Amino acid sequence: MHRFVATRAKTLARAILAGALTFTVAGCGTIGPDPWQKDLMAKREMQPDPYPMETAAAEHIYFSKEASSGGRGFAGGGCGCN
Amino acid sequence: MPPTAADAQGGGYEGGEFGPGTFYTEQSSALLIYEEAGGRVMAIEPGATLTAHGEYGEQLSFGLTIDAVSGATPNGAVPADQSQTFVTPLKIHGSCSTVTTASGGSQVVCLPPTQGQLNSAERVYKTPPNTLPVDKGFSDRRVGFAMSYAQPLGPLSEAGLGAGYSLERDYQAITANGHITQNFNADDTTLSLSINSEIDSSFPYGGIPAPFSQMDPHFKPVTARQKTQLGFVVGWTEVVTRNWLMQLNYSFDSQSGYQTDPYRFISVVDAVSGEPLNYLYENRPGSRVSQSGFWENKFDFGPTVTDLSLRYYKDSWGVVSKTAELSERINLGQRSYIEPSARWYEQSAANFFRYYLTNAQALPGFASADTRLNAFTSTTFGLKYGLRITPRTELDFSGGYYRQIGNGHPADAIGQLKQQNLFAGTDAAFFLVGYNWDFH
Amino acid sequence: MRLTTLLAIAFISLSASSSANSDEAGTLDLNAYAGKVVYLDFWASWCAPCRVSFPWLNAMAEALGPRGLVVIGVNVDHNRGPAEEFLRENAASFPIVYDPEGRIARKYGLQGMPTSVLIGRDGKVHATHSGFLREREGTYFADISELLN
Repeated sequence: MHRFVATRAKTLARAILAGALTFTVAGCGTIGPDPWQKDLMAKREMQPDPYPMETAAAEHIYFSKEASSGGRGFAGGGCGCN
Repeated sequence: MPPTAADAQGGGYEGGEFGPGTFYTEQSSALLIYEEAGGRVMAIEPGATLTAHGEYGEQLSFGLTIDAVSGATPNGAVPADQSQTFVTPLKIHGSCSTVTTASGGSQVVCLPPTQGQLNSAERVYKTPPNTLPVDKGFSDRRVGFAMSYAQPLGPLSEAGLGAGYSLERDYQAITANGHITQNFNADDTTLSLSINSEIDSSFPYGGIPAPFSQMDPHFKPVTARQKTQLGFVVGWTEVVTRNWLMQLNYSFDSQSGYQTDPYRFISVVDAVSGEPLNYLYENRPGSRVSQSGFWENKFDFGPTVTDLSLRYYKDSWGVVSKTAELSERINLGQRSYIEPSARWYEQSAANFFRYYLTNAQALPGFASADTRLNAFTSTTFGLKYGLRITPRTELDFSGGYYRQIGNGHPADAIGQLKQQNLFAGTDAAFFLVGYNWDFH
Repeated sequence: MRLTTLLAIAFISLSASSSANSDEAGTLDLNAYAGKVVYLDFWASWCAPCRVSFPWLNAMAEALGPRGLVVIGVNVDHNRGPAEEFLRENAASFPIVYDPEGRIARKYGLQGMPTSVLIGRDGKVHATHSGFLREREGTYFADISELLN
């Protein structure tokens, strides 16, 4: 688990560095897709929790039969419109 | 007077103006039907939410959930090679004069009157030999209500508050939460912090038994106990590439107060023969601190969307769990999709979990035979079919099967318990219908 | 590999001239509108507030066109299909320029969707609005009127 996390961190750091260098050259200012490239993020199925009632029902089943609960998040993603 | 959109087209919203940055209302509902194998628990759970969205991203939300649960649930005792008899308190109006039959195959038996006694009858049920003891008289109804409001606030992308209330026959929960989120990097990066708290009240039928006291059909003098919970979640969401969304969360939670199951027994067996001698009410610690890390990835490959998430959980009761979930949404044309999914889960036992106690050992500080706290693996397979009836209404059908695999024959089982299956977990099938509708 | 690609795109966009010779996809020739006030609206089929903005843009083009306003819709969809479907549902009474690779968008430094860029009679960018809010229609109108005078 620790080695996995360390490799992921290195890859992420490299991506951040690449993005930062581009920022200084082109002056665009985003690490990741530009605002006009968020078409796929606008889709419902690409939201963090597109069907909250269904997620809640499933989590309820697991919570009633298992010892652990929670962990999921709720914010972010999306097309960045308005 | 500047011309407006209303002048141009006669006013009002039309067509597809739904989504972030517009003013619309979202209705979302689901019906869950759940049934465990072997005549165990059955549940029906309808729920609905209504969320009003504003242009700036304001959200006002109301939700209602109803739960009806019934069936048989393990009472914590281990199976034996002879018939076993269990008693629970029962309140009847007036005095008790005759022995009658109650629901779930149990009997109502009158108690001889004694001083200070609060009830005059008891419910008696028997378990056949070589069978996991279950209480068939289990039935409950729960109503839960939640509301929340969020909007951009000053320099913050979003701030919100929420509250909830839930009530069932023997339990009440009041929750409150707040959150803030901040977007960076042209909304590709989002950081969020939420704090959540809860006050629970347990008022079991028959009262709160003293820890490790013997199975007792009398109403206990202590009628209710409370539990408080406080926790926070820190989240980072990142739009990594045009088709890859990633989320990483860390959760911390602390619960203090009454966390024991007031109905559950733990058997005390003979240290040589393994025959049950006594049934004691269980006892769990009054403090539970937990942490979890959650990582989710969504990839949009065009005709398919892949969702992969991992969770690692650890708490002060000694439970360590790992969860992996994978789903693949496959579009069938413009209007419908299927989504197979799989979930793998593994947990270790709580450090005070015991299948049973023996008469040769001193009572431990805490002990529970609740299978939820045992070590086991669970796998879930599901399939969902979604249909977009109109661009703003969707109907979904999902079904799935949940399996628990645990050790029913621990190496140190003694006497007759060597021949018994001591694992009390079970499989379940579930069916879910969901309906989403956006309107103005 | 990703870094080289990003640097290449950066170089191309930095060196691209703002006055190309024709209206091919990805190019915008504003010389044809010299002396007029130009309202560039960057939109996409997947952007819900864009649907809300189109009736207003049509109203602006109709009412203020005679006074020298030119509204141009710059579409940033990757594929033409969804953009054309959007236009079938939300007709535009102003010209549409297609920018599928986002070259024009990058040149004007878009920070969100939709974005409107207001260019005065002098050919300079006077205001950039990120997002479209019905509540602010009056402000947008006032900004345009000021430049028309």
